[in-house]
This record gives sequence, C-alpha cells and structure tokens, in this order.
Amino acid sequence: MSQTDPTELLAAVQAFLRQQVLPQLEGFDAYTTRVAANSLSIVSRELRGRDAISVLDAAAGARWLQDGSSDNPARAISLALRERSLAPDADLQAWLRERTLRQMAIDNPRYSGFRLGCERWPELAAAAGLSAPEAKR
Amino acid sequence: MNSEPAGSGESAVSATTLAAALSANGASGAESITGLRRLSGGANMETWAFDLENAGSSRPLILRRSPLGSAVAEPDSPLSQLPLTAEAALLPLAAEQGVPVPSVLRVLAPDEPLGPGYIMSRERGEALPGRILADDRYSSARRHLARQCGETLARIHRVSPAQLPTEVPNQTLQQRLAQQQALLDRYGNDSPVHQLALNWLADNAPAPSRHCLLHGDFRNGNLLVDEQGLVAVLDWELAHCGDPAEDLGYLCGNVWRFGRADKPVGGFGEYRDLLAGYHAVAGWAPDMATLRYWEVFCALGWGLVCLTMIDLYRSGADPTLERAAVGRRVSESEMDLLLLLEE
Repeated sequence: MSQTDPTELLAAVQAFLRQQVLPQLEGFDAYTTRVAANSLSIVSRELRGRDAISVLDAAAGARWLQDGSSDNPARAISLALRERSLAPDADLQAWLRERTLRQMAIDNPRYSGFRLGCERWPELAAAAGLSAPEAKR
Repeated sequence: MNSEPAGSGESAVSATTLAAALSANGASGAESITGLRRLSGGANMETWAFDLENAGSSRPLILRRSPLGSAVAEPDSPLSQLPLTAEAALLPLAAEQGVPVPSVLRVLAPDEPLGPGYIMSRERGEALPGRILADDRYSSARRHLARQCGETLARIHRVSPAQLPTEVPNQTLQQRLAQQQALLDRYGNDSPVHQLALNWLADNAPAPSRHCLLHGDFRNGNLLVDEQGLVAVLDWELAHCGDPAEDLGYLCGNVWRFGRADKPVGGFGEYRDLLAGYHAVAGWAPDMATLRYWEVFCALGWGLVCLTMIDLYRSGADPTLERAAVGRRVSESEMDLLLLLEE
C-alpha cells in the first residue's frame, strides 16, 4: 500500500472543510471557508491539467519564438506581441483559445465564459477533452 | 461573525465615538446608537451599519471610513480609490441631477477621531447579485432595471465637471492605456491575451467625444434594488472622468453578469433597454461598437484588478485568502477577451 498521494490529501481536506467545518460557520467565516475549499479544488484540477498547458506552450514557443526556446513561452510571446514583432494569425489565436479553455477548466469551470468558449470553439474543446458543467438555474 | 478587531486607540468605532461624531452635527445628546456592526472587510476600507435612536424613532445609518495609514493602493493602481471626503462630496452632486443615492449626514475630516470618512443614510434594498438575478420577488425589477440604469447613468453624466472635487481622476484614454501597459509590464507580461487585447484597444480607440463624470463601478453588486427596481447607486470610490460610453460598457461586462451571460446588462437586461433609457434622458446614446469597445476595456480591467490582487497578496500588503484566490480569476478576463475580440 503506497502513502496518501497529494490528490487524496486535497480531497480529504476539502471534504473536511465542506462537511465538518462549514456547517458550524456563518457569515464572513463561512464565505472564507468556501473560498478555501474551492482553492483546494483548483489545486486538484491544476495537478491534472497543467502538463497539457506546458506542452501546448512549448509547441507555441518552438513555432513563434526566434530562438525557439524559453522558460516561459507565453511571456516571451506576450513581449513579442507588445513589440508588434509578432502578428496574431489564426494559429496563434487557436493556441490562445485552447490554452485559455484549459486554464479556465482548472480555475473555474463554472464561469459562464468557459461554457461560451466551449460552445464557440467546440472542436478545440473536444480535442482538449473539455466540457462545461450544466449551468445552475 | 466577523472577528476582526474594530480598530485601536482613539480611532476605534464604538457607540461613544459615533455619538461624538454625530453630536458635532448638532445632535441633542438624547440619541443613542444601537446595532453597530461591521459590514465588509477590506484592508483599507471599513463599512459599518448602525441605528441612531431618538425618542422611539430609529434612523438606519452607514459609516464609511478608511483608517489613516492603511492605504494599500498606489495612485496608478486599478484599486486606487477616491479619498472618502471626495466620495462624500460626489453624492449630493449626483442627487442634484436626480440620481438615487444615500444622503450624506456628516463628513469626517482626516483629523477627526473617526476620519477620514462619512456617515450616510442606510437605504433599504438588495445589493447581492445572486438574489437580484434569481429571486422571484425581483422579477418585475429585473424587467425595468436595464432601462433605469440607462436613465440613471445619463443623469450621473450630467454632473458638471467644474463642480467635481479635484481628486477625481481626469485622464485621456491614451493615458489610461499607457497606464494599463505599465501594469502589464510590472506584473511580468505573462498573458499574451491581455497584450493582444491592449493592442486592440490602442488600435480601435473611439474618437474622443464627450468627457464627463463617470461612476466608474456602475454594476450589478453596487446597485441597491427593491421590487420596483433601482433604489440607490452605491460605491462611488472609483469615480473618474472619461467617455460616457465607458460606464455603459462596464455595466455589460460578462464578469458582472454573474453567470447570466445571456442577459448582457448586468445579467438582468438587454442592450436595447439600457440604450433607450440613456437616450430618453441624455438625448443621445453610444452605438453598439463603442459599447463593445468598453466591454473589452472592462474585461482587461478585471484582469488587471486580479493581477493587482495577487501583487497585494505577494507583497504582504493584504495577505488574505480572498486576495490569493481572486488571483485565480485572471483566466476569466482572458476568456472574455478572446470571446469579445472574435466578434
């Protein structure tokens, strides 16, 4: 039997916060505890999703940066856009869309913009295996 | 509830210090202060609710104050706020134009025990966006709110710039775009989407037309609403001068629709009603292209607010979980910008 892995610890703390701590709180403390539990959900999703974004960014760096390499391709491309030395063509737009959809799936898949993005660019979302949860009404 | 200390030394908010502040207003001394409670957090802003009781009648009031030495935002920060004394001066100017606002009872100068700050009436109504957008009791309000917002914004924009406190920021669009670039640079240029959006804003800036007082934060969440609709416009601390279309576009930013992306005005209404209400009072209204320009500006602005919150957290200026967590909302602004820029 292996030791508890990081995602299990995160899930256990989240369950503790939501099921045992939250019912005893109200007002500002209840709100902050929800923020805390939600922050752990973000970390859980990031552990699963961040490698895909790194791969995407590395490919973008190889394609659009002069020397083809950078520790932080997104920043280097951002600076090239700032200097207007790089024009945003359709492929660059597609990279930004996929990257942002993936980041949104980590940060807040309930955000309305994520659902709109999945609807607007269904082929990108499908290729990335992303779908928005049903909107609550 | 909130276990934060109320302050320290002479500046602590209490029934005694509040009574002293109000007695300078000519109160008789027969009044008592009850129900004192702090409403909202924030490192540099305190909002307190209390009731002023006198001979069986009760007056609901609000104190807003910013304890000295606790300002965290630099002047060029998107979180930079008007001094409270200037904010207090704006409310009567807006009221003169027919804008529903709380009435200011007492302005507390920086050298007074509770100052700087001000005391105003506490109006009845709902400000929580979730309730305004979902509760059945506001279904009629939701039908009228977009038009009422248009009418009200047109009235705010009629305030004479000559009357404004000197602290109200008055910059050209070019200056503000340069400021946004400086912020992106300061925070590390990590987002190609933000840079793309800023380039677009620079390339598509509308010709300067009218220039007037803007509320600057006119959105669902800062509007007090009852069953009939708009009751009061709150939170004037981001007021500044600029293109009137900015206030309308800001109200339509997706981040302020609170999940109801299908209702472009604040999550409750339609563009046509907002613009019709504005036109009915102002005699003109911005076109949709200009409105969308300011929606892009709003989405980038939200991204910069999130980046600034991360910076406040990292610098230790505001080391709260809330700040750290808002830092993870940067991608909301990127998503909205990509959707807007494709249209």
